[in-house]
Amino acid sequence: MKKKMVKKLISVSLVSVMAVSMLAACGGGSSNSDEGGASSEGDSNVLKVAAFEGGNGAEIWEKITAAFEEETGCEVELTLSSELDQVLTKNIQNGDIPDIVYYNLGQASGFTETMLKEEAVADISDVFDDELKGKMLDGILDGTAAQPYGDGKIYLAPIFYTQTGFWYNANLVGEGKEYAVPTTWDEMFELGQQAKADGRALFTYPQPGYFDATIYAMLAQAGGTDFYNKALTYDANTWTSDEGRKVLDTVAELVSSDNIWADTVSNANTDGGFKINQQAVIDGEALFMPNGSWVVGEMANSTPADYEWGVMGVPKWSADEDQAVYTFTEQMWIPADAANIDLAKEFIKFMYSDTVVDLCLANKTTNAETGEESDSPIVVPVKGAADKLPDGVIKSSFQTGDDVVAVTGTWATTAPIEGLDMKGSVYGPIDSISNGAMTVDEWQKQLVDVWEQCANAME
Amino acid sequence: MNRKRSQGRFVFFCIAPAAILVTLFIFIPTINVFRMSLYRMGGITNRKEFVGLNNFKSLIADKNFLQAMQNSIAIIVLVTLCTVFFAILFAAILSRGKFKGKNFFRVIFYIPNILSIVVIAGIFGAIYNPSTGLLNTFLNAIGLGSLAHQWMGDEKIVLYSVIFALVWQAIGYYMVMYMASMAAIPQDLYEAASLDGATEIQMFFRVTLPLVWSNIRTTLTFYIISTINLSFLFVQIMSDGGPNGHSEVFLNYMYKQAYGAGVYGYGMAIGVVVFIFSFALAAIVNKITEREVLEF
Repeated sequence: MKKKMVKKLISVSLVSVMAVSMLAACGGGSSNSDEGGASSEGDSNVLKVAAFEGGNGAEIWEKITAAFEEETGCEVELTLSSELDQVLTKNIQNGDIPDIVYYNLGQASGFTETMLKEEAVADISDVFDDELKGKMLDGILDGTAAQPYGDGKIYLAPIFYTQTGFWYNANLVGEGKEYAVPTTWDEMFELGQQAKADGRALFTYPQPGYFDATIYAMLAQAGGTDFYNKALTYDANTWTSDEGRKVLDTVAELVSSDNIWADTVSNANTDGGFKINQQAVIDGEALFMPNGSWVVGEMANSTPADYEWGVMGVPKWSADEDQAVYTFTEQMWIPADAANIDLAKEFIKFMYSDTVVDLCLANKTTNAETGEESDSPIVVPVKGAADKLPDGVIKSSFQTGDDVVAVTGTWATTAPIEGLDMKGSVYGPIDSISNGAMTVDEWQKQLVDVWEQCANAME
Repeated sequence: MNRKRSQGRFVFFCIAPAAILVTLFIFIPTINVFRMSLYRMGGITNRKEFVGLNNFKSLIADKNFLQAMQNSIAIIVLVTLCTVFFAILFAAILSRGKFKGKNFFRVIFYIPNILSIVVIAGIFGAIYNPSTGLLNTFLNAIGLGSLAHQWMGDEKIVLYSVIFALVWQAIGYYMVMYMASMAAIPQDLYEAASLDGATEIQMFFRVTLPLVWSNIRTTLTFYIISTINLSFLFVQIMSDGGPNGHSEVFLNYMYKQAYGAGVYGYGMAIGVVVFIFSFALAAIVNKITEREVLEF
């Protein structure tokens, strides 16, 4: 009887320990979040910087924040993560809001776009006074990449930039090489026939989403700046106009089976497959692809020592037109509920100072696999920064000149639209056109529908 | 009376932890999904707007969702049919057949289940690669180059490529389950059948299949639930729904809408539809496969 009693007591106590410890665990969770909430009110001398850890490496952010601390005497709390969207979503829901965020538009998570749609990003127009505007590249603040609602107010600070275009294998293409660099689409497609005869393909693309910069540049090339800006804010005639149709037809010809590297679509959708497509250019199986200067570092591990990259603007329809070059910017922004908005604005101004410009140009990254350190300069969009780059393909990717028109911006931010995947609807059909499963007419119709939905959702 | 009371208390304390855990981690989150599906929200900040059933109305008109739904149903049906067929076939051969290396085959069939999804996707990446992949290289080597395809690039084939990987992965697991219940069938039933002159095939249909039927019924529910979940993981790594949405499944679409398109509430509405769909499908399948339970 006694034994039974002891057994019972033991089991009851074990069960209660389990129940209590579980409840304690839950309680612990909520008290943590309270602490987070309290700390968000913050000390006015502590700046919480949250930065995406991507191709530029982590070190640059440590250097920039250290320089800012030295200059202003404040303390910077730096959060670096390659999954910043997930970290911040959790923190923001717990009331722990960073003062400043470096996270670009156009990422798969759509984090910045969602923050914009929720109207949770602060207006920072006053940061860009005449002095700062004068220092910055012309036009860099005018597009929808800085003014996402197209209302004349700046919400996103373009802190770094790179110019995009078609990247090629300079061992095969260039002066005195097997193939000449084309400037017009006619020359490009003639080159395609020549390449085909040699068993090579003219073109490949890492993923259909890489066509964003290409289509932006082509729209500006085809219809000029006004047409381009109207297209970004969903003008109904964008795709039915001659200019819009010309863009679609040209893309369709570029990715047709005559010109495209046959494995492109298969690789474009598999995990990590975009690198196989990029490798095809290095291996000489395809000649051109749309990309940005990050491709040099991204493919460094599998690039032979004697290989040379080349870059050119997206071809034009006629040789005497100006060359439209799409400028890809990286964005920094302040959450509307940040505790330290004034200090955060100071930080944004600091991003354009000579100190940061020089730190960025001297940036180096370390290859995680080989441990090798290599130059990885980042360019701040202030006048003269790109001129300080060392000679090489990265410098040549920053095209300047009287006949170059820099194009910037992204499709304008609308109110949330249920069931719309912007990237999938605009660029996804390129896969189907390449396969022959979709016609240009069908693509055009789809785009017209998407533009109508977006125009209705513009505020 | 006192004893009954203390017994009642004991039972209460035994059940309480599980009941609290289930409520906290299953019931409350599920109810939350239903609640959030009625809001328009981005999921990052706490801003939200009540929109009633609007998310569900948009869902009915959403072509991309309907395509994902269609693909998911095709995957569930084909994966279930193929896996049941092959798993029962191999289980019957391995448990009734008399040949060497039965255990070896059992292990071989089970291996895909031990591998993580990422490894499996890597393996199939290497199999389906159009230039260097095993499949096309093999077809070219045996002179059937005309059958080589862009397995992950052709819109008409991509869904079947994913289905093949899912079946390959699932067979071993279900085969082991069927073998366990086949092993429990007493040998004398087979002896009696063979005395009556029944062939192996007749014995399979008259003895084995009826006696493992309740096991098969249980696994049908597993097929539905695990295929819905695994197809999301496979598609996310193997094709991300591409090319142009032709291998999209509803959970991957839900993920993209909730976490990429800034319409978290809409994503939750898709979650609600998937939840109801899988429950209903499991119930229907359970009902139509109901037979009198045979015992031995």
